[in-house]
Amino acid sequence: MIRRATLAFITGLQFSVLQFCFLAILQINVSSAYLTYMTVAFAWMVGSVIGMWVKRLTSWMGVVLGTLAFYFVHILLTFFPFSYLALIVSAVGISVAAIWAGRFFVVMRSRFESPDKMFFHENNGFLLGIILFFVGFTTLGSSFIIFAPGVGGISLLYLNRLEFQENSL
Amino acid sequence: MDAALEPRQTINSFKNGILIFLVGFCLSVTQFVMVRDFVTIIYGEEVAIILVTAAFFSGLSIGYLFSLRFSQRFFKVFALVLGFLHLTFPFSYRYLAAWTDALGDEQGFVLLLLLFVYALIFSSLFAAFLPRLISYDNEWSPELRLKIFYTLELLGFCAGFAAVGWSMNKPVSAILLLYWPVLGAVLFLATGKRYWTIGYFVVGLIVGFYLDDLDKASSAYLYEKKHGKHGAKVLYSVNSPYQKVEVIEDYKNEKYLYLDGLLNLNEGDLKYLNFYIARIPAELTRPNNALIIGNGTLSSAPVVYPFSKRLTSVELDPGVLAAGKRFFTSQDKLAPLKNWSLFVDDGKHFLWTQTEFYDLIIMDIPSPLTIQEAVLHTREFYSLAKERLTENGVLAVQLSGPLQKNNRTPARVTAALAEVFDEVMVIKSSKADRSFAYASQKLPFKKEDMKNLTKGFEPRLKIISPDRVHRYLKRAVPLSINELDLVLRRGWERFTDRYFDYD
Repeated sequence: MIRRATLAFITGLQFSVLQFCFLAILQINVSSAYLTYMTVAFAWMVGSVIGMWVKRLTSWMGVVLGTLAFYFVHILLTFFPFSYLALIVSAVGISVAAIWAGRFFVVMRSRFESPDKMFFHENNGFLLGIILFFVGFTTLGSSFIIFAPGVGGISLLYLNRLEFQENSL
Repeated sequence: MDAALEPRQTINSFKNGILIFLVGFCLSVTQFVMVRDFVTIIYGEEVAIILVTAAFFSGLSIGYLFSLRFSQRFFKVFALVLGFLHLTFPFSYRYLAAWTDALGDEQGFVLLLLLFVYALIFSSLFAAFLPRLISYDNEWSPELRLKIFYTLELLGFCAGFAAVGWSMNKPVSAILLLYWPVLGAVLFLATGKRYWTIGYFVVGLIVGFYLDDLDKASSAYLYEKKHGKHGAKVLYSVNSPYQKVEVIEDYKNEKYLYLDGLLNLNEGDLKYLNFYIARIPAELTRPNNALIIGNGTLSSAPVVYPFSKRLTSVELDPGVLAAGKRFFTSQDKLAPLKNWSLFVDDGKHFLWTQTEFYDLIIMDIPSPLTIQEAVLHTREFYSLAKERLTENGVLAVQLSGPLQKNNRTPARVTAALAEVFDEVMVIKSSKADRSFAYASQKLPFKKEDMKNLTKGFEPRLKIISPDRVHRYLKRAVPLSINELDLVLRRGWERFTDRYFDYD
């Protein structure tokens, strides 16, 4: 149970860090206009909804896809800054990254005895992620944006592996 | 714990679908209202934004935690009580926050307590619906219930997002008057209590009728108590896409512009600020083409215009522009400016995407207390500005305080300028209560020129010539995208000084 709670918590943290990292790189490399914020929030929700109805997406694939989508958008904006076309492509990348944010709850639903606990732990992780992003970005700058989603992704793969092993025993 | 809704109580999944969609809508709206209003109450540094957002999410966590522990009967009472409390937004928490000002040393703790109690009121109820519906609705399999209800909640959240977008540049009452009927529908669908719902709508109608007055009166009271603005009147209060924009008038009829509860400027200071940030560099450089970034009040445009052949202003926030045109720079001052153009855009996006070169760029933006504002004080941004300057072009920046030999904001901004430009001249004005920097690859004016031009206005103005500026910067770390710790450090310092300094 603790392992599952940790997995939900770290997943929430990763979702939060990913969202804010997307927002930061778009605000720095495209524009701080409200359109940027709307794009990130809306694209994330679209991805989450799609993710809920996608079948056959394993946790491994979901996490890797999300992390790779982030780095794709990061590289795209580095080479094509201040372009609204890049913003549109980034929106697609954000939606792809958010697919696991929807699928995660479907996959985890049966592993938690009740959904309240799943949402509770995931939300706590999200909350900590907001604070972690703010402290991390203001103190480490670009390094945080470059490394945090990757570290989060690797941690999630490890936790998912443990969870999978436990279930298969 | 009441294990499940009875089948009759469940009614049907269609009704529950509508319910969870409306809950998503409410969550979206309440998140916006709470973050904007509480950030304004505790003053809008990034630290405050993070704190209020964290409080909102902790309210959600509490909602999730108790969602299945409540009996259906208790849940209905809980929903109705919270529903009625939502009808006291925004005035109840503003009056309570103003009241905390009288508590002395306890103020900080009580204000934080108030924040977290209101976070529960704002968000916990809505968090409780999804787990309950997934657990208790009987029509579909648990997995399908999760998919359907969570999808509907997210779609409702998107609809709320659109409503919030519609309410931009309007008073908070606009979104609340849209939100309250939706909440009424949520309460009816969740509780089935017809008479209580009618009561809710009756109270909502009465409060809604007076909402504009209550909004202004509670804001004015807050500014009187927390900001010490005697006889405060709220002339203007809107939620722009970026911040809460308020114009307050005190008993001396002086107007103040507040952004997210932070004083941006007052009418009296504008005279000094515009003299050094706008008039002096314009008169010294006589630019063919000048650009002002920020300055939402537009007050520096008529100051720069007489010295410039062409002038462009770029401001991101339409809410600030509207306040500026209405209260700080009258149309008769702007109408004669034939070669002046105004763009609503992000400064860095504007600089990157257009091809013109400028002899003078004026950075009239707020202090770096949020990440967004701090980015416009970094060496990366100054490098971008340098690319759009002519050979002897000048960048004028207000330093948010007097330059000293330390690692605080004015020194760090100047250090960022000094990394990018070959020459930086700084003046320290007692009248403006801050320093100003003028940076260029080759400044087209000397210390003597500056002295001659300012001696009539401020004879004791301290001028630090480019060859001496570096003496002030030995301990200063230049602001850059990788060194934005100032936002955290300064924000935290201001927050704790304000609420937890007992000296």
